Amino acid sequence: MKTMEKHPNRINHSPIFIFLGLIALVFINIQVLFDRLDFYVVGVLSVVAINIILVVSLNLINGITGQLSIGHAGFMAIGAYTTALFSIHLGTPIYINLIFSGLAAGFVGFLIGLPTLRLRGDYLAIATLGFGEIIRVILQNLRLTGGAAGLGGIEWFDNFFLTQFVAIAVVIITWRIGGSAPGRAMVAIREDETAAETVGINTTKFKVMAFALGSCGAGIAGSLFAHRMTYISPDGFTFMKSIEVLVMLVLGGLGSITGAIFSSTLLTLLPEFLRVIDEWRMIIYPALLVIVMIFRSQGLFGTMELDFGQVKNLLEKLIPRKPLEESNNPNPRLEETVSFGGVKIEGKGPILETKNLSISFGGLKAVKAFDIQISRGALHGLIGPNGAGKTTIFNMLTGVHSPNAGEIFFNGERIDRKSPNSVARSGIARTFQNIRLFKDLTVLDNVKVAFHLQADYGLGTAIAHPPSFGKAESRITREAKELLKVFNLIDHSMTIAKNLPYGAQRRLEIVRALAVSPKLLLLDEPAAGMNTLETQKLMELIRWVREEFNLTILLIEHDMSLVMKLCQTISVLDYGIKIFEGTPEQVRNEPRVIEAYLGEEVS
Amino acid sequence: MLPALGFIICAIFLAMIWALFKNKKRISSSPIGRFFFGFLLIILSIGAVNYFLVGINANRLYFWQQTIYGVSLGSVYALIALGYTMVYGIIRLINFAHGEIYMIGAYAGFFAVASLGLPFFLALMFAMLTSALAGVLVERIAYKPLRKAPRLAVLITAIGMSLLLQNVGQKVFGSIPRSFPRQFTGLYRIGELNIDQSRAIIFVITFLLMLILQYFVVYTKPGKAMRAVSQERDAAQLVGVNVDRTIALTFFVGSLLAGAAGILVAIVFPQIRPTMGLMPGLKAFVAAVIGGIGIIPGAVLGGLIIGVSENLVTAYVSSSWRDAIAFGLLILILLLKPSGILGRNVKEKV
Amino acid sequence: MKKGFLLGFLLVVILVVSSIMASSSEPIKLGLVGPMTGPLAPYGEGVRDGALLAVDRINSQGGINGRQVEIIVLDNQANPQETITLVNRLIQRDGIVGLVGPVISSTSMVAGPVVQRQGIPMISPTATAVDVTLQGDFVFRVCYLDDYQGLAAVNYAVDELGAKKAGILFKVGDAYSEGLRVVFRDNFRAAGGEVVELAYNLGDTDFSAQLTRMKDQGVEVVYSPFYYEDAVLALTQAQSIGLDAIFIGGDGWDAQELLDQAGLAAVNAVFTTHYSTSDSRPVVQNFLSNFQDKFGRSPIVLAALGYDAAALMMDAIERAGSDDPGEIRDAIAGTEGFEGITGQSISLDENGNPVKDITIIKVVEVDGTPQFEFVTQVGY
Repeated sequence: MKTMEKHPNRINHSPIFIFLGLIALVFINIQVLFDRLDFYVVGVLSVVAINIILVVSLNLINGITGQLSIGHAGFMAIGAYTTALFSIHLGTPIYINLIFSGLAAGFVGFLIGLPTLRLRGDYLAIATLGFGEIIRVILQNLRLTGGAAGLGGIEWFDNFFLTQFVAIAVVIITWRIGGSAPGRAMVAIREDETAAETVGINTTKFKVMAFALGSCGAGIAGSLFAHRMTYISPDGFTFMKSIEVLVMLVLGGLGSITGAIFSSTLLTLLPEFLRVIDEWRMIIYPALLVIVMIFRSQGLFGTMELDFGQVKNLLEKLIPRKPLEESNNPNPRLEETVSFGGVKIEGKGPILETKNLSISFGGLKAVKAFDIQISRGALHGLIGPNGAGKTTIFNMLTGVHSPNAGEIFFNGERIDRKSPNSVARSGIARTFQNIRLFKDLTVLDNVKVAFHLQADYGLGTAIAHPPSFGKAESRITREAKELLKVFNLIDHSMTIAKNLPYGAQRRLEIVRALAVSPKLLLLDEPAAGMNTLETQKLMELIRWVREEFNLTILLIEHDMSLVMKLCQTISVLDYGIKIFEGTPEQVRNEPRVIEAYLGEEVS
Repeated sequence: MLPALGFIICAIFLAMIWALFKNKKRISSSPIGRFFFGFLLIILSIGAVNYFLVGINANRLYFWQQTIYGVSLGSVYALIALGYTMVYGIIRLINFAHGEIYMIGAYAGFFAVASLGLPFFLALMFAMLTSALAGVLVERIAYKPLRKAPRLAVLITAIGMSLLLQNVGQKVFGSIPRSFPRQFTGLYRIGELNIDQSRAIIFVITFLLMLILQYFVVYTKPGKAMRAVSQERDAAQLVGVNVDRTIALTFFVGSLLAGAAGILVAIVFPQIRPTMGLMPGLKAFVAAVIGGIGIIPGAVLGGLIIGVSENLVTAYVSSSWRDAIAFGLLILILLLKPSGILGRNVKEKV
Repeated sequence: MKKGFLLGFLLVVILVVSSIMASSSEPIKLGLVGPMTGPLAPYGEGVRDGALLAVDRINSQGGINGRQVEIIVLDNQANPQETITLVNRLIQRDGIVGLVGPVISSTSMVAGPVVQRQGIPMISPTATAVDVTLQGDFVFRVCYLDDYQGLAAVNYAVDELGAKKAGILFKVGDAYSEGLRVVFRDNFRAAGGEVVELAYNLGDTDFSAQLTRMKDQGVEVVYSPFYYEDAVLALTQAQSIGLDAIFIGGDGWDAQELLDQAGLAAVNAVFTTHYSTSDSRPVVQNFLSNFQDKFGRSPIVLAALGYDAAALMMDAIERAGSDDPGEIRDAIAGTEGFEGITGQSISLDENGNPVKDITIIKVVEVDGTPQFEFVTQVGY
């Protein structure tokens, strides 16, 4: 932990801030406990707690996973109505209602999320808006839910301690999810969905998971709300309610849990103080919102917690724990201490084989009947002029694009209809031509995300934090650090990825790919933008990586000297067709290749 | 007046059909051409629905009457949707305050007619200009400083502006609805169908404005600049397009149309209030998405689809399900073809 | 920047925590909660102005037993959650002894349990949903229930107009509108009539689809339980599509704006309401002239209910001879023959609902302009 770099755009973490928050919390609790506060204040505090639940759960969807949802009120409504129906017809107590409301809302969130989360950005936002409105309209029309007149006679239960307890529980759960493998997967989706897939993250699964969990939180808030109100009607859950929650979230800083808590507290209390100027309140409130956005568009707290590593550090500072495992191996040498997941070259036949692989984009045949066989342990080059279809082939091999025709076999298993994440699971990792790191995460987190497949625990473990969780996490951290050490990136482990020098970013992408423990590594122009010296180093690195990790490597490169020196076999692509394949010597002398490169130098 | 208008519409239709046959490929690739394909498709499918579902046991006259009402309602959505679609196209912002610009247009029209006593068409101009200025002002104050900010921040700002304008409207105009003086109370009869003069005017003006807009965007220099900025802002700047001015112009034109919608809606449904912008604003955005956001004829097509289907749902099912239908249609489109009916699917570059 | 946030946060916490108010001052405090901003603001403002007038009158007469009355008005934007907070605030902070309001039924539904728990009497001027007063014995109202209003409308349609087929145009998601719709439908059917029900949504301005369908079905009357803004649209659109059924509205129609905006399209429409401005009782005429003097405009009908609710509350305080909320409650419950604007002799039944007459008013044409004409008063 010696290298804690500060990001310039980031408010520095101040433990004192959280400390003050905790003191305020304790103070309020003592006041409530000894009946020093009246119904009004306690009531407002309950509203604050309910709003915190809403905002923090929305943060899981919008902030952490980066999926823009603006229909949160719909899920709150489902929770509230579930509670109302349970309480009125079954007479169940709030504890049971809370659970069932959360489950009901989470389940509906799951059902809605499954088809909807294919959409991105604004389209997703509009779809969630649509669903939120549809839920409201359905409630308005069902006899069961009392139609427009709503449901009355819900058992009154407005206990500040319970509401506060639930809010704190939701905050802790969200926090823990954020610091776990599933949470890292969600953040990775926000940062770069395609890259997340290629390190083996099932993006659909985690998006739906985040959406269902967030909806579940909204349902719980709805349940508390219903018990507090004793009467609910559909007009309490309009679009404006969703917007209210979203505004609180964005004002606090998207992705920041502490920001969410702060802004929901502020925005719930502020109107109470503005009552003095009651008449102008509804003008001042939106005006303030606009002003804050103009002068501090990242929200009051900015992206303070985007980086969960820092939050963990903070917690470690606050609650002293065992120092990290570094002491175990004071001076580790890679060869002795760690075995990376690479497998021994085993099995028969080529590791990768394609037959008749073809794809076209809007009538343009990008790749035509591409056949290739790559033997185990090979260092295979793929060259060709710009636009020849090299990257497209990588995209097909990794499942990013599905071919129009043809087959891909990896280790004898057909993979051409698989999603990118299951391709990664079966052992193919890649880098990208235009570096696609998780830009706003630290170097260490970039690698930890890619250890996703090795995090053999689920969401339950992440939330419950049993000892096995700590073990798994420290193992991941240790291995990630080992990898970084090997690649000479350990000094940058707390640097935000986008602030790394260019060459280091390229190296980090290779580290990230290796963390997937692949059998086949696809490198897309690793030497692009490097000078001769850097290229030389890179070449050594690639060779070493192949030996050390028992890999097969397929490489796209424009730097002919690199390809010729490095690869045993080279395939040449032109206009989507493989025109030649052979050893570097053969390629150098092949007239068809020279013709394809007309004007380009083949040294 | 109507015969002249009817003649114009028929002429436009005939011209389009003629163009369609003359140059199939070009039409099907131009948005306007596809719009007319879409429009004919709607008319045909409405006819088919009428024939198969309605014709069996109900009153066809009633059906067509409802469709006509739907088209006039849809025209209003279309006019608002045009502004949404243009703004989204150029700065990728769902301009939530657009509904309030429409409200401002309605009030401007109201004061022009009721207080200044202007004739309707002058009032229309006045309303359009007032709205346009308001739109540009909103852009200058709230969105321009945020050009480099995260998109969500701009979205929240837009929501804030929407609430702000709505509440300022309540302070300035009062929360009690105003009654717009009655205009164009005439009634045309085609066979047994009734078409109010006011509804016919809405439809015709919408149509003309859309054609003018399409011409403006496709053939004039500022229009080309708009398209350039919407495709690649930095590149447009490099070739000498004044990006800020172009964005302001987009708000100006979009708000112009919202202002027109505001006063036009008031001549058919003569009641205006400060909160009138919220629902039509949302629906118009839905219309823009359905038609294909960023595409001008798409907005009109989407507006008509929503208007007609809402009216038919109201007429045959119940208006209590109406909003669900509009948003359901939206989700259906989004799942089947996220780029909208007239949009083209774009693959992400990896 | 950070320091600023910290300070702000601390300030908020300190303010919340430290402000524990007590100490009742001389005036008797009443609270009023209703929508003063947002789309429903006109109703909240109407009730507020009526209540303020009632309080002014009492204060100018020397107050109650020598003590002045203060009424604290808070804006809930018709939002239920906000209402709970505000009612708690009024009771805990301001120490009110009675609550006038809330104005809208849905907010009254949530306010009921709150005042019940804390033992503060509440008189809603305008919440017409049946369940409102069933929430406890501290909850009262001065407006009649939707049931009676709907029943009066059915009786008028059947007995006076001889209607066999009625259309109902109602507003979805609006408790007032849907409540009246159910009462009218059930009772009209029970009287042997046929009913066509059609809905519209909040914010709709186009009813032509619904009205055309009604014309198609040949309805004789159109029951229209919604407020006058929508009534204006419905009446003018009905005229333009040639629907000549008679519109029967509820108390939401009772506004001068109906005549101003709908013009002659409103002629022949009838509606049930709370009082008639042509009522010659001095209390009514004084109210009308005082209101005009104080606010410079004529009152909307809800202002009369706001006046009656506040007046009844103060009357009860005077009768109780104490500002103890429990005793005030008992005095309200025991109200007999209270003379209000909306009833010559108002009594409260065991559920806290008023027993009084319903007024029926018709729009007639006089010299080319539409005017309200008092038709009858019916008891129940």
